[in-house]
Amino acid sequence: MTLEEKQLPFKDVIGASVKDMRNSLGQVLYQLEEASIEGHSSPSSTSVADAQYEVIRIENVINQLHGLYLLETDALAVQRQEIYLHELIEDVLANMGSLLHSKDIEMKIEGEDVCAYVDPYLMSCVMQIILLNAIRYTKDCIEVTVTACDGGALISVIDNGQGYPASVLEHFQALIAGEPVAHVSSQNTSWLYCERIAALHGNQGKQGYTKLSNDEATNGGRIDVFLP
Amino acid sequence: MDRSIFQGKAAAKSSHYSGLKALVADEFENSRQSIRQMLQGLGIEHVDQTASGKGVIEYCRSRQYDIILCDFRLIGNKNGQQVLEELRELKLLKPNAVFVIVSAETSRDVVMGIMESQPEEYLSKPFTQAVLARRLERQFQQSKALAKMKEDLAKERYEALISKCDAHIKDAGRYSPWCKKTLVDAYLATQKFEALESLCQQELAERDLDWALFGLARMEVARGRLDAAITILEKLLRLFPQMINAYDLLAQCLERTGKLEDAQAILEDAIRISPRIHKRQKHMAGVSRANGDVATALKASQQTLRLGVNSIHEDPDDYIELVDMISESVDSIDSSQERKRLLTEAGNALNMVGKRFSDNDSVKVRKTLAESRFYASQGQAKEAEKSLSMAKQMAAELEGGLPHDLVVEYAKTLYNAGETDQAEEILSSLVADSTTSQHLKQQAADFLDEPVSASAKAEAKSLNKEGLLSYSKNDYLAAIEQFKQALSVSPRHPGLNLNLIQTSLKLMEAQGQKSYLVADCVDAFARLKHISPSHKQYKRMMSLKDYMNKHYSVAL
Repeated sequence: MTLEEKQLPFKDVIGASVKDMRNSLGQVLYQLEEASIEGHSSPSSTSVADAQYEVIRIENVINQLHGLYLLETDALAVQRQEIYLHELIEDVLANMGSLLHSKDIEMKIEGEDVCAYVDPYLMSCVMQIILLNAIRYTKDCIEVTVTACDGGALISVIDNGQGYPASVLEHFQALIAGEPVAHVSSQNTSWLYCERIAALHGNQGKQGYTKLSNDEATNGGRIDVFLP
Repeated sequence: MDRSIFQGKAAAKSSHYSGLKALVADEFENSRQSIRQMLQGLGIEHVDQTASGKGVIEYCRSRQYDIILCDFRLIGNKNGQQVLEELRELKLLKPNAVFVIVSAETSRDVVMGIMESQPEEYLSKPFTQAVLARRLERQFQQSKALAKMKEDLAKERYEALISKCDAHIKDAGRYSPWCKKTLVDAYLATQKFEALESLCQQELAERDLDWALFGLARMEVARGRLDAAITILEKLLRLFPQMINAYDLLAQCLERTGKLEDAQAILEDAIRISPRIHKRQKHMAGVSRANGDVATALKASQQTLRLGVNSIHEDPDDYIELVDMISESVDSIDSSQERKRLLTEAGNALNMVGKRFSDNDSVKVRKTLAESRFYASQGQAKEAEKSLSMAKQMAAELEGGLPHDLVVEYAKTLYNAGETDQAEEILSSLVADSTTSQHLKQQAADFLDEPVSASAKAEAKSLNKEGLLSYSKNDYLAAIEQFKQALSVSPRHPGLNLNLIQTSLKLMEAQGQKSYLVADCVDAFARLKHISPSHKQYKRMMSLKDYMNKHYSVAL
């Protein structure tokens, strides 16, 4: 049986479900924060951190799933504002709370605090996806650099892990070039989401983009986001 | 980096938060509890909580809060956006209070609605205590830095405001973007158009910015250059298709330049992006009604009323408009079930407006008049007459008699109830009266032109279009038939009658005088007795009359 469009449009089913999931995630995240504070020196703290990692992953997946759906149906809200990028990145890190603390990853935010013209909510979603990805692959350090560049801003997130194999970099290139995705995974849908959101940011004929590579200095993975 | 980013608690416990008062509103108990504990964790001792919008208003009446965290979804019939608008209207917020709308919603209509109500902060769920701490801290810092400028703005001390903004921008202050946008408002208020233009152009040379283009468009409107404003707004919307205020302003400009159908198309785009705004739906109801688009006008009237109820926008106008819209369009609905539902809706609207404005005598008169029009439209002449005489009695009891702005409504009701001569007399004298407002005059003249239902107007309009098409193809016989059909549903329409006359004259020019065509023209002129010299079709009518007199020696 299919849903009758008049009775219950499917976009509303999705909207209401996403809202409920986000509400629940808020509660889980809060409980985990509390648990990690109470038991910060106990052996259970690693499992709390692992749970936090998974919760943020679910949040990212929901964001990219719903975001891509809204983009597809031309119903995504985009409201650009003048935002200081260091502030935005620090907010995203703050939302990852004690996860970073317990993983003992050194975070560096470098470069200029560029004021960019972006949708803060959408760019936060993008940065959270990119940063969680870096947390997954890094050894012990993540560097975020903001540079004023070409009239816009370049955000680079660099980890010191093993870097991406050539095949992954090729897949990314093919994805950005708009080629059909052979094996759909959460990883390539998240990249697609980040690319699409960056591309929504245009200025004087230039368009935003993302780029995946291995960093020359650390040999780890590197994602650049250009916002014109 | 500074570890305190992650540790809202440690950073804030020692802070200046302890003396602050906060209010948390959320429909879910567990959400309220966790947000409350987050605030307490930041050192705020006094945290009240409520589940409903009504609760927020009541708490704010009894206490002045520094921080209000209010979810969009609340128990009861007010949402967070409506609560914020009401608190502002009732002046229940401290000038430096931070109102945060919290929401797990990502649907565009909700997000846009929230953004349009301009809360100090918008926080999407899920969020951690550290994020909350950072956002609040940023708000307090901003509010401190901008306090003097905001005070100047509120008290309309524009010169002082301009010099403070200039100084902040010159020092490359952190809030320069806010200052620049505020400067646009200040320049507009003081009509410093050159300064405004130079600021916006300077910014636009650097990058595409919606607010700078919008500032230039507002300036053109203020200068009365509507076409220039339209050009800028169209460019703005190509670059920023979600700049919602630009749609509203563009629709206004198009409406003022007589491009009503374009205005409606723009409002349709705006409503697709952000439908939950009362003034937008109301604008749409008016424009689509003028365009004869009955279905859209009805839908927009329903939305206007739905958004107005329980909010500061609630207006008896919206109830009356909906009842009239249903009265005038229900006959064009095919499904009998839908017709029945609409009639019930109209009945409910009449009951509601009576109850909700029971202490307002003028609204009671309007309600009773609308009731009479409603009955008349359904062919219930007796009930219509009864309501009308009740309204007459109520109006007579009003101090000063029937209020001036209700005269058109009153005359329309008389007309629909069959008292056409008296109605015409009242409306004609209103149009002739130099003290009548332009708006009311227009309403009266429009009704005299087409005293028929909205669905009849729409039918006449579409037949008229067909007639014009036939005319343009020189098929005068077909055109005459189509104009006559249109006139059978809207006999007094000036444009239609003149189209019929002009086409008949064209046909006779080609084929020689025909007595039945001359008779048709004489009848058509007779239906235009209500056209006064101030009417926009008066000149056209007079020149056609002259032509008739000269070529067919008919005395008109």
